Amino acid sequence: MKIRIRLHGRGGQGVKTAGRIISTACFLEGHCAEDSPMYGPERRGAPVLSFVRVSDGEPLEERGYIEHPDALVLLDSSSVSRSSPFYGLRTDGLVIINAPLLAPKFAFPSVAFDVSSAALRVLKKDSVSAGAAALACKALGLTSIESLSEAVRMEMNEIGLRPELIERNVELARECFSSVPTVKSFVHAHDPSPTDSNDESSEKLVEIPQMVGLQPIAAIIATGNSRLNETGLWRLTTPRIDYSKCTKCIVCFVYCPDSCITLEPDLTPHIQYENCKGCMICATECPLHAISEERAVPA
Amino acid sequence: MKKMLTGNSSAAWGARISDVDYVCAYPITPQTEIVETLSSWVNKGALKARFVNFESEHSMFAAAGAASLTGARVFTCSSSQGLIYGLEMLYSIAGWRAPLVLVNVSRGLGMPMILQVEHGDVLATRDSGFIQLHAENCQEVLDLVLLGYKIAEDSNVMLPVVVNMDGFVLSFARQTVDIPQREAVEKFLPRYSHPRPLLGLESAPVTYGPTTSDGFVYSFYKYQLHKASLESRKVFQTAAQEFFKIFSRRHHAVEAEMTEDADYIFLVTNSYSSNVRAGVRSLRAKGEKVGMVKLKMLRPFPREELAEVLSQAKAVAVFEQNLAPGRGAIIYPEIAEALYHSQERPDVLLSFIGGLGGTPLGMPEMEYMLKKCKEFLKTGHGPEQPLLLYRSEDWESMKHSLSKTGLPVSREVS
Amino acid sequence: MASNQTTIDTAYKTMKDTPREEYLQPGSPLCAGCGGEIAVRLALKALGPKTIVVSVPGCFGLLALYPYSSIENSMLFAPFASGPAAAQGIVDGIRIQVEKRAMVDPGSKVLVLTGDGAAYDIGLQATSGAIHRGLDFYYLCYDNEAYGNTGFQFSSATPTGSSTSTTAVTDSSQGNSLRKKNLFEIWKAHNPSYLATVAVSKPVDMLRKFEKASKMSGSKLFIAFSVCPTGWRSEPRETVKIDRLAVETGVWPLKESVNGRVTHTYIPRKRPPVENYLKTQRRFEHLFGACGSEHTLQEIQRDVDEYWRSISI
Ligand SMILES: Cc1ncc(C[n+]2csc(CCOP(=O)(O)OP(=O)(O)O)c2C)c(N)n1
Ligand code: SF4
Ligand code: SF4
Ligand code: SF4
Ligand SMILES: [Mg+2]
Repeated sequence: MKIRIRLHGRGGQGVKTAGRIISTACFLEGHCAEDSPMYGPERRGAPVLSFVRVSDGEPLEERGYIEHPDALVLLDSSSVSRSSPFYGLRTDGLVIINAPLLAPKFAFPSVAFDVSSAALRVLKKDSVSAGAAALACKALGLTSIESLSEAVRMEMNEIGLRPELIERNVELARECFSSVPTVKSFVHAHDPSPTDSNDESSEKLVEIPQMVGLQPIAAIIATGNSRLNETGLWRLTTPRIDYSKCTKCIVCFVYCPDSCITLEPDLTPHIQYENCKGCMICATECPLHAISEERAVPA
Repeated sequence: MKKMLTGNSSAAWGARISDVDYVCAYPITPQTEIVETLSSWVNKGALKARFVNFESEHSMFAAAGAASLTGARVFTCSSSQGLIYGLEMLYSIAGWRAPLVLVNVSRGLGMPMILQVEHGDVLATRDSGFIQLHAENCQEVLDLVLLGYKIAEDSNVMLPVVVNMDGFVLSFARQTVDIPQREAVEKFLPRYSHPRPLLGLESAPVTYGPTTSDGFVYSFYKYQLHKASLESRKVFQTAAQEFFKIFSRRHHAVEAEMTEDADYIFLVTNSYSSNVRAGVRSLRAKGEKVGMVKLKMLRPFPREELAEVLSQAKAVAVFEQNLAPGRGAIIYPEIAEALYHSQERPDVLLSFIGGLGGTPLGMPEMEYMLKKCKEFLKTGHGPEQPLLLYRSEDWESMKHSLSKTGLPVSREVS
Repeated sequence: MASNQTTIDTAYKTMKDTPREEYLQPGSPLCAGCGGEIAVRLALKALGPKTIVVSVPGCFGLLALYPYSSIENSMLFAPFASGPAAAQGIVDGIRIQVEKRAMVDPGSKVLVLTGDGAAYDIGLQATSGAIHRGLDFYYLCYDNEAYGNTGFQFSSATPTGSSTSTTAVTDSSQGNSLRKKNLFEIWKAHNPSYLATVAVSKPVDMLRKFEKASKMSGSKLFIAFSVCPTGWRSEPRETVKIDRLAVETGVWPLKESVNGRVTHTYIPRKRPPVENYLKTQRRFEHLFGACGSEHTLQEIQRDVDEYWRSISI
């Protein structure tokens, strides 16, 4: 057996921790396991990946990016619309997702459970790493509930969680574990190796040219172009201005860290949702409480 | 105009006739004379430039690189610990693609502290992206500063250049130097203009040195830097031809002398090239078929030129003034690589280290290197490399010094 | 110790005078609710489009994350310790070309933008050199009180009692046991022409300070209190609120030094207990509750009280 799992989520969501829990649980189960996170220099909110490779004893002789995972773990359903995470997933691959049952329909077999709601109930916050890891361990038939619980304890302790919170995370993991089935069809007879896919040939390599002029120099002259980054996708909550209450005091405009509030000549404020990160500073600071909060609905 | 100049003042003159705009300074022996000279010229008005004393080499290099991006022609210099203190900056200057000339006066590094020459300092910068030109004599120091600006500022290159000279042996040695006329220099070296200067103009904003998290972006720009560095070989060649036309002095990346019929070639860089030349002449007078190759350009590495001049020889002795612990000499493996794919190549390629801290290179060393090459050729067995050139009288002095340290006499490891 | 409420010559009388132009553009890679980002945005509004920004490693180095840049201004990203020195190169490079080459003066300003790690620690020497040389530049340190970009490790700007990833809370330690380094006084000892602390909850005060500085030549230095929800483990929505609490509890004094004369530009008369401020951030959570440290809390309060007593308002 050899399984490659790719986890998708966002900075701050615990993608790395979820990956570590899965791999530690597998280690405790006696498997050979390896995990590694992958993130850019962006701060909280930007996409984060984590990779877990598991085998039943064979050495894991591959490193780096998992291009052709056997399973995906999606820490929130919005990542489906945000970044279409399915690329490279094997045709018989499994999608494991934190989402209300039956909500999304994919072209792949899937296992879904609303970890967020369970987390809000058990932990009092939307912290899903232990729960998401539990879904993977169970759905892929990787570990026992004991190995999983121990792995949650070890990893949560590692990141400095207080003992009572650790135990509640264990509780969450156990609930998630027992709420999903093991997908039997998923046991691979063959050993897919990273180089066995037929879309990979030496034709894919190019010799890049030597550039002339300014292009060989790492420079940007379209300064201020980060507007093209849809940081609006980071949003967990969305601010809405109630114009009947708004007095055009411009306080929200002054404090928006990301220049996402523009003013009309008469000072009416407008929120630019493509980039608004949903920090809700505008809502907190609005002296008239004219800005309300909506839980962001994935587009 | 001919004058008696030290290596250091030749460097200063190189900057002066290049009409540099900005001089970034920080003292360190044996380089200090350069900045002192430039400082006095700027104060007297003999050189119209801004001269700034920095609080460290790190800052000095930072300012030098940034100023180059604004379109100013920049000169700076350093040595040894100073160069290494600022090493982080050197990678950034090259990454910014900021052309400038840095003169390094080579000096030993680390402990024991020494002020005399060793090339470990400049060679530690070999992978930074700087173009490296090494000078044999004072005239070359001046010439290479001029050539340095010419290639650094070429629009297909846009890279910084380090011109190296040996501490003490050259930096403080006075020789006759021909200082070119201003008009001739202007003809050779037109005014530097950056294609997108960092001036803060609203109409032409620019961001240099962005961060990336993508390997494909990083690979792309690193590779472009490499390509530009390789391109500078051609640019150097053309510039050297032009230089010859105007100033009647020739420069090549690789300079071979007396090699046509040579069975044995000595490879050397920097000021000891002169000693090797003298040694080769003496050996020839005794009937030995010897020759020499001087490496003037270390980066980009002129591997084709080297392969061409070395491949005919039976044996090559590579003489270097640096020691990389656990490896040996730094340039030797690069020479071996240059020869690897040659159909014909020398049977023997031997690595010698000498002149560390200014120990001598004379006939004893030349004879010794030749003898070792011959032995190897004859027996097919080579010594453990590199071979350290160390004279018996030095060994006696060393033992004498050891006896004064108070340390108990230890037995030699055999 | 007069307060400068009486300043007259300013374009910024109320928040409504906040310039509408945006130089910081949406879509930056910084965290939602980043306090330092508000400071940069306001600073650029006051300094304008001809400001060349020099940034260094740290969160705000990401304002140029290839192929995007989040500010319209020109920018140079330089190594960690080299911000002020790179600024010197730009200022000098432009000046010499104007003097020697008859280049038209672009009239640009140079703003060094670094975190506290660069300002208080690794870049202090370069800053010292630049101020000492009288460099005509601006320096904005967004002080989030730790090495944020590398995962919130201790810096010499970390305040007493704060946990960071290298000053952990254990049975025997209450987070950082050292006092925050006094950068204001260190910089002041160099006699810069202008020096101020700023906080984004007082935007008019901040804009005025930049306005005042831009009428002077020489080194103009700013230390901005910068709430960091990620490192401080505070709620992003509370960034400005926490900033205000820091000012009101007296933890973050607002002051300026003009040619060496220090004035407090806002005096918190009531000064509620520091707990009100500390409780908003989980980096201080160990100070409260059953096993909390009364001692550390008292020490923090004492330091604040002592500060305000010493300036004898
Ligand atoms: C010479 C050097 N040492 C270490 C680093 C690693 N480094 C990058 S950013 C950073 C933290 C910067 O902290 P600070 O200046 O406070 O800015 P912040 O990240 O908090 O925004 C460190 C330590 C580096 N880039 N260069
Ligand atoms: S802060 Fe509130 S009242 Fe003021 S302009 Fe914004 S929405 Fe309107
Ligand atoms: S939620 Fe934050 S980013 Fe969005 S408009 Fe309000 S202040 Fe700006
Ligand atoms: S880590 Fe802190 S300072 Fe850095 S971007 Fe995030 S909130 Fe801002
Ligand atoms: Mg910081």
